[in-house]
Amino acid sequence: MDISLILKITGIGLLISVACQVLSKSGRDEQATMLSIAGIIIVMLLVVSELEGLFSKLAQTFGF
Amino acid sequence: MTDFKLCGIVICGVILSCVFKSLKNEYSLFIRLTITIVITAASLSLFVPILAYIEKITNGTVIYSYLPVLIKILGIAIITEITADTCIDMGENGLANKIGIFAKAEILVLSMPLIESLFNMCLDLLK
Repeated sequence: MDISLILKITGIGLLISVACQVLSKSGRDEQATMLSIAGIIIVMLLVVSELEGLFSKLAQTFGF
Repeated sequence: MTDFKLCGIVICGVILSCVFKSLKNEYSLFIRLTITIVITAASLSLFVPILAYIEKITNGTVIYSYLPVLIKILGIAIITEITADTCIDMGENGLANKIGIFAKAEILVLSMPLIESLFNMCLDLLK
């Protein structure tokens, strides 16, 4: 898991921010907003699944 | 995972988080969360032998019966600390305090049997 997830999030984030800037500069603000929301949802799905794994491991270690 | 590798990952994460603060602030939160997950997972792998050792040396003592409660309290404290720090980092101090209040209440509930047995012990001593 080490650094691959961090690089994935960075890649998606940079891609989304560049695409959003291009879209807003060419006058398509709504599409830029929708794209940024889609990016956030994708990254949130990635992070939440990792969080779930961490919390279940924590619960197992501390006897919950 | 060694300390050096972890420190390297954290420093890279801080730099990336810094980059995203000016571009898109939400992604800096995700980077921070991911780094937190990596560090906590690495610490957990160290916690397991520590807890096993504590269980071994307290075996047969009075503390042994209360050890599961103490370890649960430690777990609650760690998880709440992580959550509250993440909230504070994003400027949500109120949420951090609220989750702190909930954790304190939960720890008190868990330690009620301990407090009761402490009072019973004091009463026995006074008799």
